[in-house]
Amino acid sequence: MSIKTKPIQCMACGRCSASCPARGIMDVPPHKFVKYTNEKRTEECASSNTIRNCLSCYTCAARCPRGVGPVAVINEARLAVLRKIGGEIMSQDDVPNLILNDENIPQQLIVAAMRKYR
Amino acid sequence: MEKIGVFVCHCGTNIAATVDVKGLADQAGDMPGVAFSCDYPYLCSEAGQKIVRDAIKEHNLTGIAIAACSPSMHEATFRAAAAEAGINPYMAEIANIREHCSWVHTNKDEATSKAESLTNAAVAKVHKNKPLTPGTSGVTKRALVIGGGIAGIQTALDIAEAGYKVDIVERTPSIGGVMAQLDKTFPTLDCAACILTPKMVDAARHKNIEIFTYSEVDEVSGFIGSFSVKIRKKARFVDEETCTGCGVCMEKCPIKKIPSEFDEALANRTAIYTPFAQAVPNIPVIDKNACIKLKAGGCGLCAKVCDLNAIEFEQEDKTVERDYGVIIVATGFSPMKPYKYGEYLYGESKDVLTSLEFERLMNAAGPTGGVLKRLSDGEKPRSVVFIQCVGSRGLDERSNPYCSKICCMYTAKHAMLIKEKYPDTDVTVLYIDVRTAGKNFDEFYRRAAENYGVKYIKGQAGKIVNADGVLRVAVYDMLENESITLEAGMVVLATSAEPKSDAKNLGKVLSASVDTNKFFTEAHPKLRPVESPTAGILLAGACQGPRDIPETVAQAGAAAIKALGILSKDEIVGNPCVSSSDETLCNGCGACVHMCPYQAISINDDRNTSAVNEAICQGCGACAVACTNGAMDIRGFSNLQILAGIEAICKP
Repeated sequence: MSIKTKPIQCMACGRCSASCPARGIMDVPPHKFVKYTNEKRTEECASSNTIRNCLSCYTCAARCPRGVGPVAVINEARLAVLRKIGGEIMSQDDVPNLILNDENIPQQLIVAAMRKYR
Repeated sequence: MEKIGVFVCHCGTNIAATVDVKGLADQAGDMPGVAFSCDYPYLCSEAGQKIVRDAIKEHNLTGIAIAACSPSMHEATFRAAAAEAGINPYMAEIANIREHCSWVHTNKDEATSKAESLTNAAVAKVHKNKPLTPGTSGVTKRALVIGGGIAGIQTALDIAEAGYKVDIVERTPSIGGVMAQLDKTFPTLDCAACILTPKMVDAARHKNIEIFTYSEVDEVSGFIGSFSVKIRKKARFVDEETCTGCGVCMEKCPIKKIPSEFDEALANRTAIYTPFAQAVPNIPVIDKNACIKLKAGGCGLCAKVCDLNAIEFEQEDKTVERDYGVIIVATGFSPMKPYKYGEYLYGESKDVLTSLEFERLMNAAGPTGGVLKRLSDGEKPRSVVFIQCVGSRGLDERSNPYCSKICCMYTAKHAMLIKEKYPDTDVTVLYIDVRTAGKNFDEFYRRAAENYGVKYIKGQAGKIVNADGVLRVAVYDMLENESITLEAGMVVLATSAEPKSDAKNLGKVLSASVDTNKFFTEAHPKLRPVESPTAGILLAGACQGPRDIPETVAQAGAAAIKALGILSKDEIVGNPCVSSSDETLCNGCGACVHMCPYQAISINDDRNTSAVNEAICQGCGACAVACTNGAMDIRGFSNLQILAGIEAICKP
C-alpha cells in the first residue's frame, strides 16, 4: 500500500509522533524520520528500528496536516532496506515454527509479517 | 502615414546586461514607419521622459513605442508623457523587454533577438492604434459599508466625519461584530467593550450615518460612482420608532432555551431578544423560528406587556433601494468550528472549547459571569491546555493552508487572563511556532512565559482522551524529544479564522473576486491593499484575510480615505479601453451577456444586438473571446491590433 507523500512539506508540528502508538519503542520517532529523509540522512533511517517497529496503522497519515504521512516515508525506507540482498529477517522456513509455537496465531498475521519483514 | 518613435530603456543593467540595447535602437530605426529611435539608461526618469517629449515635438511623431519594463509598471508614465507632448496618450505602446525578456533569459544574442521581435510587434500595433478618449460619469455622494464590526464602524465614522453620508448594513440585530464578543484585547489587556461601545454609540448618533441592522444586501448593480443597491430589512416584528428598549418583553418571553449566537451557544436567549446588553440599536428582534405566536399562533405575551404597542407580528421583510458612489466590504471572519477534528473531542466533551467560546467564558458579561469553570461539572479546572494552529497551516482537506495570524497573541492573552485571576492554575500552550510580529507583541508573549509562568511546549497535540472527566492530551515535546501526556481540566483550541461562509456569494453580488480561501482579493497585494479589483468596491478588515484589531482599524481608515477620494470627485474618468460591439456583425446570440463577469452587457431589444455599458465594463476581454462572430472588440486591444503584433513577430 502506498500513499502520496511529500516529506518536504513537513512543518515539524510533531502531531505524527504525538499520535503514534508505537512511538515508545522507536529510536527515531516519525517526525524525526521525516526530517532525516529531507536531509538525506539515509543511513540513520535505514539503521533505525523505526522501519520495523512502525505498525503501519496510518494514524500519522490521518492526522498529518501537511500531506506528509510519515508512514509512507517509513514504508519506502523499509522496502529499500529489505530489497537489499540478505536484508530479510524472516524466511519462509520460519513459518512452520511460528505456527507450532502458537497454534492460535492468526494466519493473516503471518502472511502480513512475511510481506513486511521479508 | 504614421511617424513612430522607438525608445529603448537600459533600466540600469536590468535590461542592458542581457539585451544589446544600442543594437536594438539601431535596428528599430529600420522598422516600418519608424522616424526616430534612441536608447537611454532610465527612460522613466524625468530626463528620460523629456527625451521622449522632445522627440515627439521635434520629429512630429504620431505614435511612440517604448521598449522597457512591464506596462503595469510605467505605461501610465509614458502615456502621460505622450499627452504632454501633444499626442493622444493611447498612441503610446510598451514592448516589455524586461519581465518578458531580459529577466528570464541569459543568452544575450537570443535575448536581443527576442527584444527585437517584441519591439517590432509594439511598432506594428502603434500603426493600428487609434486615439481614444475616456468618458466620464457622475458620483452619488453616499457610501455603503457592508458589515457593522469594528472595521465597518471605523470606516463609516471616518467617512461621516469628513462630511459624507454613510449607510451601514449589518446582518445581525446589533452592530459590534466579533470584537463585541471579546473580553480583553492584546497587547494592552484593556477591555474590548470599553473601547468598542463608545464607537458603536458614536456611529448610531452621527448625523451622517444610517444603520440598517438585521438587514442584508440582496442586489447590487451599477458601477463606481453610481451603484444601485437593494437592501433587505428582515422583519424585526418590533417597531424601531416606538420601542424604547425597556426589555420587559424579553423578561416575559416563555421561550428561554434558544442557544445564544452571541454567547457562542454557551448560554441561552429568549425568542424575542437583543444579542447583548449594550446592543446598538437597543431594540429587540423576534426570532421567527422560535416564537410560538409566529410559528403556531397563541402566546403573544410580549405584545401584551409592551406599554407602547411596539410589537408588530404582521411585519414582513422590506426592501430598500438606495444609490451609492462607493461600497466598502467589511464582512469580517468567523472562527472555524472544529467538528472535523474528532481526535480533539470537540463537540463530545463540554470541556473542549474554541478560543472564542473561551473568550465568552472569561467575559464578565458572559454565561458564567467571568468565572472560569468547567461546563461539564461546574468545577474550576486545575490545569488548562491550549492547542494552537487547529485547522490552520494545513494542506489536508480538514484545514486551511494559511496562518490565522491572531491566535498566538490571543492565546498568550488567554493564558495571562487565567494566571491573573487564578494563579494556581497550570497553563500550558502547545505550539508549532510562536508568531508575534507586531508592536509590543513579542514582549507580550514573553511576559506570559517569563512573568506569568505559562508553560510553552513545542509540539501539536496528537489526540485527547476523556478519562472520567480528566482530559489526557498526548503530545510529543519536540525540544525534549520525548512523548508526554498532559492532564487537563479544560482544553482550548485556537481554531482557524475563516471568511464568512457566504462571502463568495457576496463576492458574486458585488462582482468582487475572492481567493481560493474565499477571502476577498485586493487589487494589488502591496500597492492597492484596500481596493478590490472592481473599481469602487473597497475592502476593510478580516474579510480580506485574518487580522487583528489594530490592523483592522488602520485598514478601515485607509479604506475610508480611498472612499473619500471617490466621493469628493464630481465625475469619474473612465477607462476608454473597454469593449464595444459592432452592430453589423452582432446576431444577438447573447453569449457575451452570459460571459461578462461585471453585468456590463445587455441585449438591445429594438435592434437585437448587444450593447456595452462602458462605465461598468472593466475591459477584461471575456466577451471578445466568447463572440463567435467577431463583433465584440476591446478598444486599444482589438483583434486587428493584436494580430498586427503577432504578424510582426512571426514574419521571418
